[in-house]
Amino acid sequence: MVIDLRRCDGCKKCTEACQTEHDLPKTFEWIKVFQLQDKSGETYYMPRPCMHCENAPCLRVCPVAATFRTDEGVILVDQERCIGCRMCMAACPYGARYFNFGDPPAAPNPFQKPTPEFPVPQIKGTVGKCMLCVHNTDHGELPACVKACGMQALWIGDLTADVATNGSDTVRLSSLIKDNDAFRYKEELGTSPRVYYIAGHGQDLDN
Amino acid sequence: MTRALRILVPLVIVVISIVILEDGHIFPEPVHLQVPNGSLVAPPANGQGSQSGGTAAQQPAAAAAPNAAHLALSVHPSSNASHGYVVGAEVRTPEGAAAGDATVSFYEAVDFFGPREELLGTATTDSSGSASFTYLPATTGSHRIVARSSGIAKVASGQASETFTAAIAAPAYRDHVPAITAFYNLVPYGVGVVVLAVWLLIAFALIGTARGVARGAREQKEKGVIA
Amino acid sequence: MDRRTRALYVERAVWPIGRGDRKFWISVMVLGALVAAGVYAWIYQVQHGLWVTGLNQKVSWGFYIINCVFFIGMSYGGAMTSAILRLTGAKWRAPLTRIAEATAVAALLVGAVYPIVDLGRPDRFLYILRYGQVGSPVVWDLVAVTSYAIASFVFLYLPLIPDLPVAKAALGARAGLLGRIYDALSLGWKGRPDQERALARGIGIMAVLIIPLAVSVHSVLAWLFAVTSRAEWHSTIFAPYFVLAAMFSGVAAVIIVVAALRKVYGLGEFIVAKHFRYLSYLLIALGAGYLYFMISEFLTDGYVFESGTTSGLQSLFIGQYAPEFWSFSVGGLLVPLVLAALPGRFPVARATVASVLVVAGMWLKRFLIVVPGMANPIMPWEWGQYQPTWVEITILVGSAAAIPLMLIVFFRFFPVMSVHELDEVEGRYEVSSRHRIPAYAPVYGAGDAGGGDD
Repeated sequence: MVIDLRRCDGCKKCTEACQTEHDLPKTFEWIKVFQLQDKSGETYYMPRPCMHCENAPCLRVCPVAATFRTDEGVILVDQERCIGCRMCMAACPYGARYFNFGDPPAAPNPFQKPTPEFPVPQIKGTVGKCMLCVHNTDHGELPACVKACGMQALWIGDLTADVATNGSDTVRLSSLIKDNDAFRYKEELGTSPRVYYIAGHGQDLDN
Repeated sequence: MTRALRILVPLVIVVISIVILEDGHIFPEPVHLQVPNGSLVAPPANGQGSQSGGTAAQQPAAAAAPNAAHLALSVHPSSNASHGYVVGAEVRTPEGAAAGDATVSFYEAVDFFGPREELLGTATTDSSGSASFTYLPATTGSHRIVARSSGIAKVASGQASETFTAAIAAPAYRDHVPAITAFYNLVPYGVGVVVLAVWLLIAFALIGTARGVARGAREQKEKGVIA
Repeated sequence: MDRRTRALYVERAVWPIGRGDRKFWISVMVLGALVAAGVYAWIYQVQHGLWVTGLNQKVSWGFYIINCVFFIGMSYGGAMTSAILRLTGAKWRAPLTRIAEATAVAALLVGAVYPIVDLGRPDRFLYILRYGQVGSPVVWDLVAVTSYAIASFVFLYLPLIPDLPVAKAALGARAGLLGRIYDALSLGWKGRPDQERALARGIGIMAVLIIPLAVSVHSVLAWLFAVTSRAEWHSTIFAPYFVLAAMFSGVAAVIIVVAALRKVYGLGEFIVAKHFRYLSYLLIALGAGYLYFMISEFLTDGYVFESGTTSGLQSLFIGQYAPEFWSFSVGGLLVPLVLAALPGRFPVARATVASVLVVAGMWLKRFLIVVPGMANPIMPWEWGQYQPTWVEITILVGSAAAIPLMLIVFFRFFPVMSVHELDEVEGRYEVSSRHRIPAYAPVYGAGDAGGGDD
């Protein structure tokens, strides 16, 4: 994923779309929009989905391998296995994980059984997070947040095919990253996130 | 009433069991989109690209305009093989004159969340009407390139497409794995040996002591009998 | 030492055995009620989900993890006072070892329950065995705590073997079924030299083993935090820091328990001011070491002003956690150290007060490790808040009550001081003296009347 901070206007449509897509309560912001200020005091916004790190800390600390990586590199959670120890929440440097402290809202489809690829409804006592809408992408559909973004600030890409799209434009992913000096958040932690940010307007996520 | 129930109840049961057995997927899964392959593969033949709006046209076909530019697309391996391919476009006015100063955008027809045209790069035509850019594809195999020229004075935009088979590709994307992780795999065995040794020691301390004490008790008894 | 003294300490050691007086039952009922309240709170939490606690998306670890570290840390007193004093051959340990070892097991049992209380899905606890991932600190934790728990049980049981005939004799005619259990557990102990040798070897192995095991447990608990990338936790000093903290609070816990049981069971004649002074020395040494570690941590962090650590340090020293931090530093570390180090009168009272302060302070310190580490922003500007609810507090109170409950029930069945070790240090009983007939039964008419005759 590439997130263009120059375009994000903080409308939080991505968060809403995500919550609708996965039947999440309002406190579950799997993609969360942070309001920040750059050095000149101007406001900008930073959406934070799960970074789907290549060297994912959450994956290593899970005692029961409930968190796993798909062949495409998406980090998923098997809520049928998660024991709810919340070690992954302590380990995640991005705060991308959300624990179901209480009962999740009932799913509209009573026969829906949650799977790692479509964890709806969430299971009480387990951890959930952004799963890059693999239930959509597996079927050639864009993730809910990318579809919902009116500013086309969210790009979804494929590192092997080297292509990225924000729904209307399609470009080479490597060029998008390189030409715009995209960077990864907290890169110094060695997590190798798969989410890139394009700053470009003096935004500095490390302030 | 009972008659209706006799029909309705099994029906409901059947429906419910189907739904349950379907494991939640009560809606049919969308059909996966397939990339057509094989038939489109053709080697680049000296600049004669096939002229077509193509299946990958997301943008309206510009060829419809009567004064559309003529585009000829060619793909050659670059002189430096590791750079990939040189994609060249020659833009001509409908009258056949070279069209300079036209911006040509090169796209690749991809299937990425549906058919899309991936922007590869742009180039401006020189006085001979040709523009080119070097393209190193991400994967080997068949690639379909689409070129579109911008409109210039008195000439509308034009387009052309060309399919070629790439033998060279950019190095495949790889996860960043520090080399030391190979060592990690050995650690559990070492720790396992230590843990096992500790458990054996505890067992030895417990069972050894118990046996020693019990043996002492037996001997005491036997001696007592002899005495 | 004459027989009279021996009869005296045997009498005192077995005094609580089988003694079901009103004080005992009232204590059992009060403590049992507290434990039951804690269990009820936990069941309530399992039914309703963890939202009944003060935990939230930002601060997802709270009281339970604090308590887990705290209670397991308390159990280190057993490893310290018993194993180390045994290995160094400190004779003054004799009246203390049993209490220390029992406290270790009781505190460990309470601490080991907490990870389960903390789970969102306790019903899936055994998944850790089924799907265990060797790379996870949670699994390390399970292995280390299990090993340590088994070792603590063995370490409690082995020195108990020679005392079981004593306990049986104390019950006299009332022994009955219990007497047969004592017999089975004592494995026919007669005090023969070869039995002594076997026992000494077993205890020796366990005394050596329990120390690295104890060290491993708190190291692993520390790594639970230190392997994350949170600036407050990601520290190389964490494992020894935790181990030292555990020893510190463990010795304090032993002092408290010894002081309490000394009063309750009237052990004042055997556990004297000297014991508290020595234990205080131990406490001071460990406390000073802890202070040194703390200074080392804050100095290295605070000197550089790295962006990650600065906000955490600020919140501790002058920010929202400053009250807790300064109460711990002054009230839980400096004051107890001075209190215990002062020469002069009331050594028992001073050691006990210092220990209570240390235990409370070390709980606070664990709070200051867990909660600010969670609450400090990892994403820009996002501070967490944590306010425990009645569920967490009730479970804490209930689990704390479980320790004295387990202890008084345990000492109702087993001698509160190790008679065998007292024999040994009183020179009563030499391992090498092959022909000495151990004179247990005749001497111990204890529980009922005074000392008998040979």
